[in-house]
Amino acid sequence: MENKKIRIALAGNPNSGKTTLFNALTGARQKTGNYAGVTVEKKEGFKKYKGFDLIINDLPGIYSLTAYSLDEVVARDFILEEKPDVIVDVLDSTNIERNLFLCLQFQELGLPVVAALNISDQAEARGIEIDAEKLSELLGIPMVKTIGSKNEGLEALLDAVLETVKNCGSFQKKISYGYELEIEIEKCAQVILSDPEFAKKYPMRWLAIKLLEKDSHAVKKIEESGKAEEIKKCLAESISRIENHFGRDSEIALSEQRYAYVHGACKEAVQKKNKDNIFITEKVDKLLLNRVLALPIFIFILWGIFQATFSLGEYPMQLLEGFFSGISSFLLNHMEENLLRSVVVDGIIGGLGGVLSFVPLIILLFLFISLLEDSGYMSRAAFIMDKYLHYFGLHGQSFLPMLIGFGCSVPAIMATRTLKNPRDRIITILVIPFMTCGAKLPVHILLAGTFFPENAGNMVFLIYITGVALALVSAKIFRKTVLKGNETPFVMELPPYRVPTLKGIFWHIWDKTGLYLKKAGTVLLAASILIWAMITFPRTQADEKKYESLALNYQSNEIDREIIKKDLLEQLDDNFSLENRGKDEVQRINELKEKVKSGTSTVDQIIEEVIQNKTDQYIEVLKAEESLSNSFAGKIGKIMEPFFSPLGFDWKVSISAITGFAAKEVIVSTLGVLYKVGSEENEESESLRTALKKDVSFNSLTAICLMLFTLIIAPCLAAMATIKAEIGWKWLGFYVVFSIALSWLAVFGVYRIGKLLI
Amino acid sequence: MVLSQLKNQDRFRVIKVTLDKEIGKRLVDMGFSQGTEGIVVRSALLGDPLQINLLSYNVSIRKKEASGIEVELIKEKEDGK
Repeated sequence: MENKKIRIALAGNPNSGKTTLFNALTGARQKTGNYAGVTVEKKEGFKKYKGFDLIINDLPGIYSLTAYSLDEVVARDFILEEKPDVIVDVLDSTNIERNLFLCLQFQELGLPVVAALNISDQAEARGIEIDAEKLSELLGIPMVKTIGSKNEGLEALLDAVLETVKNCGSFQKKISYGYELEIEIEKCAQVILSDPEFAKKYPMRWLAIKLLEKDSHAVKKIEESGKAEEIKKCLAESISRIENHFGRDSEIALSEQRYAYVHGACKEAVQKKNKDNIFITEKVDKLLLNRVLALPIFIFILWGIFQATFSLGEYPMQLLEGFFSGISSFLLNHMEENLLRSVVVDGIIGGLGGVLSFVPLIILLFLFISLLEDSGYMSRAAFIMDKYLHYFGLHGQSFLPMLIGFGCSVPAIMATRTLKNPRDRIITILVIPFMTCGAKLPVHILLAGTFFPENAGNMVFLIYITGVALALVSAKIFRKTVLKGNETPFVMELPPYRVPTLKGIFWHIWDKTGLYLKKAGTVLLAASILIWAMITFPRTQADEKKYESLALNYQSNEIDREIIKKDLLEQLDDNFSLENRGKDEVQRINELKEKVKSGTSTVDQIIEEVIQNKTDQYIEVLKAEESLSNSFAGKIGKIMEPFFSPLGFDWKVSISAITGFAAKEVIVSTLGVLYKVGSEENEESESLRTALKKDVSFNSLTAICLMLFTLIIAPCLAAMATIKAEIGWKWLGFYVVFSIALSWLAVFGVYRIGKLLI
Repeated sequence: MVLSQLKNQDRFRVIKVTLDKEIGKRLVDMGFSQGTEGIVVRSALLGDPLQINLLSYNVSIRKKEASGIEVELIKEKEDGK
């Protein structure tokens, strides 16, 4: 027999321990998604209890049921549209009044409510005594004391839920707003009732109250009624009577009456014996928010997180990279050379491998972020930074995402979810890519190291600073232009410090990493294959004869047999020092010695082998370059030349810049292919540096220009896909156009000025 | 007087929130309702934002919003504490 289902909406204030309670109730049986059309996280968990199937929805933490934030709208719509069987409101017992304020609004929605007086242990420790029975009687809501972090009171809570569902609302009471307001609420309710069709759709009393509160979403709903005009007229009259009587806006009058009701109930059922006025939180805050020390401590914590993330992440990251290159070489050795191998090795493993190698970094970053968030320090950081960021049109809470941007834009953009106001979020997301991410670093190191060997470090630092400056200035510009409007007020709770729970942190990381992996498996897989195809097709048949003559030409002109012989004899000499040489080098030399000693090859034969190897490598690179220049990517590079040439970029640099859309470090390997030094190049490779230096069209000014271009231009596909996922196509489009325009103008300016100076 | 004029550790009682639109209501919803008592705990380095303790929790608001909250002073800062 199938169990009866009970749908529960778990709601409550932020920091009320709601998520801890949710995890304690459902354990591993949960799934995460997004509410339709918005990025507010939607969590659903399941539990079997006394023959019932409980489906528990964890609603976003909110303070009130207005249209103030997306979270509130989402929570409210969920309750109105999904009509759960019961709302379980989680209350922070240490802060009972503000939490009850929300609880009463749930009750107003006309659904059965059960309240969990959570964190009751801390309330008792602080001398707050709540008479749950009395309070429950006064407010008409069953109340159960719980301690989510210790799994206490969960059964009693679920029993209360079953009981409430069985009795189905018989226990309902309603909050009284006092004589004057009740009259007006009743008047509005009557007008709504005159359109019975409309009145059926929403809880009537609730709608009347929301209308008197001038709630924008409720006001929109009037239009659904055939009697919209009458409702509006009655409403306007009621509001003006209320405002005359109370001497304040009607929405404020209603909230204050609600609070008065809560205060009244608490006076009877809650006793506060101030045992100790200074709680642990205030003691910690005295240090962490100290006027002088706050900023240095904050910077130190950030520095520590960065150090820890990148140094701890280094090793697993290398392991993963090794793993993927292992698979690549296995496939290279065990598959025939064909298109399938090429797409698997160069496209899928090459592209995805790079993306997946970041997973350890992402796990670590989110570990630290969730530690900051769950402990309560995050809002202190926003408190400390708000003034400075506010000047540039950013928000205190923008700081951390921007900082993560130095590591990787993808988790940084996802971290903006802590910003509740959409405008602040959009601005923050739009400036995050200006923070030089880890993948851009190889490009800067290569170029700065090659063209500014004396000042490489300073040049790279300068690029970082330029990025930060651009981010701040752009934020200011966005705020003054496309995203202007009322400044978002900064009203933020500073929750008490709490020791994060292992479970909470685990779920936090699991959710975020899961999102990243999902993206890697879909968008990025497709993108990697697309870029591979653009570099590979159309395929041209290499003209073998041409290459044979090129090979001969190379051997007679470029190769000096005497030098090779001299080097070789030197290496074979027993006095040749093997110190400071790589493992592979030592092994190679030892093998050569062995060969000569055993007589398998003569010195001359070895010389021939060396020459043949060099020629093969040279020809391979030439072929790669030819096929690249004939490929779609190459053609695009040539088509794009008019766009790039005013910046001093030739078609080779152009292709590199374009392939940078896949991932910024690809710029280095593309340059490697194009500059005939093989594709296995990295930023430390001497030969790519020499090749770049030899190229007359590539000078230090080009290097600065390319670095600047890499800094400003739209980030990699992964980051762009994340921007799209978070704020939609419109803003992604805006961002791409903006970044292209800005990078072009900036580089053009620098190039022209540079030309004058040289 | 308004909340932004108070000094650190000043205790106050809310008279009225004069800000309009959503922010005014938000402040009331967060506990700045008539008669509620609170303390100005501290301000950040440059004097803004403020940390306010009321209804036994802490909330941070900017001076701009604080200047829209009418309050009365209850007790002067306790000396030496």
